[in-house]
Amino acid sequence: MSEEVKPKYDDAIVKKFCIMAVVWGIVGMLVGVIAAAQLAFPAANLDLPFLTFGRIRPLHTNAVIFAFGGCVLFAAIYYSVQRTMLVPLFNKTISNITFWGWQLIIVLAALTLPLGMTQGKEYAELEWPIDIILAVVWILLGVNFFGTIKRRKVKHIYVGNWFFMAMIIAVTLLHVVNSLVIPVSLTKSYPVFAGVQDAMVQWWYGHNAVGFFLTAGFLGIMYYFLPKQAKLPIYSYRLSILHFWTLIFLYVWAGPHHLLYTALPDWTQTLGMSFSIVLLVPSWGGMINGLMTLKGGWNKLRTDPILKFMIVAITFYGMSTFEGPMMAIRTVNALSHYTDWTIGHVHSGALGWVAMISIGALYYMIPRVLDKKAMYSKGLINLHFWMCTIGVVVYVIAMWVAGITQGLMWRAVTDDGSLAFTFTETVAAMHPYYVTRLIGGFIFFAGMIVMAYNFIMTAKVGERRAA
Amino acid sequence: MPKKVEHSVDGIEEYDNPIPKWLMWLLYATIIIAVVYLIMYPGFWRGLTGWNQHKMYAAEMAAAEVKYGALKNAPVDVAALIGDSSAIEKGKAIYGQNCAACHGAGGEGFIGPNLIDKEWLYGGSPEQIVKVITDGTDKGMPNWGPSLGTKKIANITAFIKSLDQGQ
Repeated sequence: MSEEVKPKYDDAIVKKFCIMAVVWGIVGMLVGVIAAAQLAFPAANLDLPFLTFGRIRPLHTNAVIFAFGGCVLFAAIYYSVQRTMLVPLFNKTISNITFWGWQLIIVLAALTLPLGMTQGKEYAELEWPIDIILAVVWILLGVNFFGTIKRRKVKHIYVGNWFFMAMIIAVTLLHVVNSLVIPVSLTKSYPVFAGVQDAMVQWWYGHNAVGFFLTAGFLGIMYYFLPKQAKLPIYSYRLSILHFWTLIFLYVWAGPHHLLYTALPDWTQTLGMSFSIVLLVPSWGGMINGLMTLKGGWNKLRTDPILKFMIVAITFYGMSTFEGPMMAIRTVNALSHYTDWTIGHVHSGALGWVAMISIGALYYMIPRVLDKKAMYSKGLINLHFWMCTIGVVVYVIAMWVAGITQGLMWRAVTDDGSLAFTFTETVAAMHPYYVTRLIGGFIFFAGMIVMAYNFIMTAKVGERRAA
Repeated sequence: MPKKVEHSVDGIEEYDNPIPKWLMWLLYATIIIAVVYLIMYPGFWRGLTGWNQHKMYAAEMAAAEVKYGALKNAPVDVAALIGDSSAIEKGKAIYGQNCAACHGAGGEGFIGPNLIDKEWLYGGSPEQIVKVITDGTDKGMPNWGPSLGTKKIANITAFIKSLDQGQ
């Protein structure tokens, strides 16, 4: 196998996506820090309309999910599919169109969202002309990816690619259906669905954006980069088959858990909650296959900060996929819904799992696509690891305490049956937790600056890899 | 050592380890829980328990009526509560939730009239204040009697009377 002549892989495109991943990571997390600052100190919006929370909050979510997360996915897919299929990418022109197209979408988002142009759907705020560009670029990614697989020089398709396939197909479907609108001008449109149907389509989309974009996609990343970095075999092929098929079957049903105790019919709510509970096992299947891969190699964690990123990410994945099904239970949801607990849950997944597995994969790819022996400084990777870990723990704990406090204050009644707290009092009670969250988020953001410095120094002074 | 599967690419190998038993049991358990839940609660059809969220709301309202209902409409001697610190404290919270939006957090007035000057449009005795809150006025003050009840209205009155009306 090692004697085979390696085909000429296209790593220039991977390099471009790696650079932009770090750039958008810094931008998106900075906007997150500003949004967090505004919640603790409302004057931080400087009284400027385009800096108000309602406009920069979607900018933050779009920037971290689709700009940062998206660029990491493109980089990781393009890097790994060539190496697991033993052929170069299907088409160089398509690769470049996907790169420039994706950057165009991000720039358009950064311009329109602060101007208040929005479809008002969470994680799908972009107006219809940008949605169309997004659909085209995404389908071109599909063409490039499936084209590469079709030309493959190996019989078996490696497990990481199953997850990428599922993601590309599911996200196409979700994005197109949820973005069906009637345009009234270039910057304004109305959804074709109305009322509770619109809400249901939105959360079918919203939940599966998490399930397929942020989960399946990044499991694909785990399956390639974890065994490469650890130099250990994947724990169980059988387990990967089980958790792949159960994950993609179950995820699409779970969306209604975002609409418990609403106008959605009771039976639909029950269905969403039931599927959410069963979803625990497929999620944990991924975690077990990741963690057990390190069986017999745990000592590597002492010396390898990149592997630490990956293992902590997988641990956070396991934790937040336990928390998710619990929060989908009606009685728990009655307390947690609309509180900051939800924000804490999302960030234990988004920072702990998605960002940390992404950062691990980036540290793996960067020296290789720059043709360098290694990253400039292992010490700085280690520093970045601790900044991420401390940042996310501070953030998540602050939001747990905030959310549960909020939920309990909202439902507290005095002995004559009246509410014990005014709404303003519950907001004021959040202040210390919002400040703590700001600190945690800032530490995580600052870690990205350390990464950018390490990236630049690797490019500048890193030792070249022997040919 | 466990067996490895035949295929391997780019130096990545895969063991063919069996799936942990406890994980399979957890899968079966969650499936059973989900199916039972779908049968018991509105899912496949109405659900064996007969529960739904509208009935849940009605039941909680009925329970609250039993617990607080008698208290709500019992006659209250409002004059006795004026200056009572516990009544003022409770009244302040109820005022914050129901009155502050129109009359201001400190009674300074906004959409509704100022409550901290010397002027009283409908009289400033505790009984007159109770009547205005309970029945409302033609000028836009809603009638709070049905929703708040005598006890809470008396507490609000105690709070309003505790404000310095000399400003």
